[in-house]
Amino acid sequence: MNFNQNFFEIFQLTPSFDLNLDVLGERYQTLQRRVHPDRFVGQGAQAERLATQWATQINEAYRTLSDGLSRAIYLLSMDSIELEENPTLSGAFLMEQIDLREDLEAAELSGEASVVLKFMNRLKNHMAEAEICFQKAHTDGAFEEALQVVYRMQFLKKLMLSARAAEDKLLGY
Amino acid sequence: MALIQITEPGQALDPHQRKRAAGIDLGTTNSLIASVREGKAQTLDDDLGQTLLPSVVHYAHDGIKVGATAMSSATIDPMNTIASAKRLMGRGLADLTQTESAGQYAFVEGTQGMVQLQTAVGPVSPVQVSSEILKSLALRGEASLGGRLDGVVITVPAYFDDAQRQATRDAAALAGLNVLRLLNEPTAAAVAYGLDSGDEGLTVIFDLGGGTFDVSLLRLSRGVFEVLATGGNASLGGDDFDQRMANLIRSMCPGEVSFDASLSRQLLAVARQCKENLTTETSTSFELVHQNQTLSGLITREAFEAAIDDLVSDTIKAAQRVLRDAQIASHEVAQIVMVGGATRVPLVRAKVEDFFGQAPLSEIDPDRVVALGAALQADVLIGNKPDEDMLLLDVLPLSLGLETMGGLVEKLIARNTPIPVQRAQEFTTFKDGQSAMLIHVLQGEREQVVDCRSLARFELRGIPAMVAGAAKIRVVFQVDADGLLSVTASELGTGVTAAIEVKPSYGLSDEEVTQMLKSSFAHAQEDAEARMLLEARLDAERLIEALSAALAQDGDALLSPIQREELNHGLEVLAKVASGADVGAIKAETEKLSQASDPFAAMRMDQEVRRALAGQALDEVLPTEST
Amino acid sequence: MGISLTAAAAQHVHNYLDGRGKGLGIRLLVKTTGCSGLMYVIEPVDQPDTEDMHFDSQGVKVFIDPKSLIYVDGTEMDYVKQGLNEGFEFRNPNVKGECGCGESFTV
Repeated sequence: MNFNQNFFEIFQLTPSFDLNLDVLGERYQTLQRRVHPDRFVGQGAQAERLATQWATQINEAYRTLSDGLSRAIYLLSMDSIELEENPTLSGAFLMEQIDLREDLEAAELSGEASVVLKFMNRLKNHMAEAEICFQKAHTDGAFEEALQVVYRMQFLKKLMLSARAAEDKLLGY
Repeated sequence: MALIQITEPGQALDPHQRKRAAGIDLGTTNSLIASVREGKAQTLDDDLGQTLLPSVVHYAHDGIKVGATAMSSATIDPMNTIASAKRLMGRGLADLTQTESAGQYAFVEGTQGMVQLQTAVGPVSPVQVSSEILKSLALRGEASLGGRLDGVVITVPAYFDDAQRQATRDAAALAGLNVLRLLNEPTAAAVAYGLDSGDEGLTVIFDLGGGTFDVSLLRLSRGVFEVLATGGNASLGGDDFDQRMANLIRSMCPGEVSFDASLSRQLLAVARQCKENLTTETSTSFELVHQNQTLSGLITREAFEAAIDDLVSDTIKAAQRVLRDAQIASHEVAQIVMVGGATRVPLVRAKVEDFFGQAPLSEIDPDRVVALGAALQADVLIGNKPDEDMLLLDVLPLSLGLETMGGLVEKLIARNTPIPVQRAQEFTTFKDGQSAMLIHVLQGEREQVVDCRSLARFELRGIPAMVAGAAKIRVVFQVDADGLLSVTASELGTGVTAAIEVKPSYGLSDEEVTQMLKSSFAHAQEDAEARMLLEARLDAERLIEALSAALAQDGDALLSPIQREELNHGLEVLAKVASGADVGAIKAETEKLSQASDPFAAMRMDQEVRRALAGQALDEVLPTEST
Repeated sequence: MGISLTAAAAQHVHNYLDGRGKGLGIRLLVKTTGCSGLMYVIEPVDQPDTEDMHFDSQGVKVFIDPKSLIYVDGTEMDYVKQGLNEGFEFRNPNVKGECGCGESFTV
């Protein structure tokens, strides 16, 4: 193994958004079994340090690939496509943002955790949709389109966090 | 002749290859040691047959006593008899609650910022006290296993922050022990159950001890114990049940009875007994003797359960929260493991069963399960089981971050991130010519520095003079498999580096740790508002500073007096608004001034380009009066 | 001759096998190793080997291969507590020397 491998290579997977998460999880455990510092206790500081470096790298790779949004961003970065800080977004997307934000506000104002939960399920569906769009655009090599989808996924994720915080509040956590 | 134990076929190691390894549960109230013998984890008893060693140390001129013998000194020599030192680990004098500082011990400020206790033999730190307990257990282990211990695994609450973990490691070092790993208590309990039963699936560890409550969710598969989420309440435990029982008894006594110190102590002991009786009985009687008067009464389980209902509900809520963090539904949980003496309370078991829809496991003694799990891991780590492919994948219990401008915490690693982990973040200088940067490392869930635990502060010096924002400072957090943090900072252009092993500087009480977590959720709204205000102010201040500097440099050369006056006025207005608390107004004024100064900024940029094209050094063309 | 167990040793074997949930008896092995040449190994037996010899003592079946028996014929196994430590002790008439740590022996 070497540290220059990309995250897919670490798990010996073909770079693709459409990833079998079960296989990823299994390979993650298999690798950790081999490199985790627990395996190198008492074998000297150098061995333990290297093991820590590797276990760290594998954790990072797993974290990146197991989440849809971070996997999408990582895939684009492999083609040297980086996210812009202030991207130009389509009018339709901006309208969707406003609509969804208003819907979340309304759900919060309802005072019912179940209404927020419903909203969260809607977001999940949107996210699943977005992931399919990304998958298609990325496979077709339509990177600009893929990038736009990532911005949408970013927005959905942020909104999901706000919704969770709102649900927490309503549930009295 | 050495004594021989039975080993599974093929597992026997050559003499001297089999190493002596033990697991130690260093508890607040009691501590114990366990080891794997004949393939099974067993707790090791002392020569009187006692498994639990009271976590009490007595300091006197004629020597140090540990355990039950030390405890008997508590009444006659309370100042020199230290109990519950675990609560003080990694904490500073300033962190003690009022009740604690006003308690029986004489606290003094220690050298490393950690609190110390004044005793007959001088000041001792909680680390020293803990090391005495560890030494006593190690002696027991050596006597039981027939030789020096080659390595130990010591358990810590999942909630322990970096300072508390470091302090625990220090105590072990002080006791001369080779620590193979610090292991989270719930993970240890899961190992004790999981390895034994070979069960797979999602496991909840519900650990209600004397003073703390931990709940963790693990996924067990093919010998891998993966911690998915952890949470709880660092100041909720069986002691609170005792207190509620005491209040209940007190409310049944005639109003004229005054509860002095002596009667209060008696009350607490009686309350504890009543609580224990109600584990098996549906009612129990109590008796208090006070000034030749006997106070007695009957407590029903129902009344006790009503008195502790909210506390037990809080534990269920915390469990719910952990499941939500991991996005798991309660019916997906395959098994629930009970740890800690307080889980014997029937209401706790009932509510847990009700929430999860299945009865919790408690085949293994909840007082011993943690030490047994630690012993199993110690046996594997030391190399006694070359074929065992057990692996523990743990997580960071509390988020780690850095102080950024305006007293805010920028989180670098979120809680529940699998360890070991490394994260880097780039920061930049705030002022022109800034040559040093203070790195303030914090742990906790809240957004403001004052609400988080400060782990360390150090300075990166020797940053070359550059304009604000030009220097790139990279700060790297590395958390190892013990959950211990180290931080390095370097300036990328020059390679100036500073590194630190994070050692406790000062900290917070357990109560505050809990408070930190709880309030990060409860006051999310309040936090967000405070954060927005701070951010708005920062934006405003950055603009004021930058524009003022630019005006001083190029204002006379590039602007008409009227233009200049306009911008000066804008600066005054923004400064005034920024000192208020109206986020909207600050943002609006910042935006307004920013737009107003845009043409000036463009002019400066043009000027820069011209100068660059002319190949002239900046200094030569600057009017002397404005530098 | 053969191998015998004291009552204490037999009791411990019974407890061990009960706890393990299976096993016909124990196997006594003599392995060549250690600083003084030979060491004892005790293992539970689920399936005896064809060349195994076996002895019954105090209701415990003790299996041993003929080669090992040469070194331990006539041995009595006891289960003892030495302070906090406990384990099997071998009273082996064939032993001529032990290593300093007592973990291995010569005949």
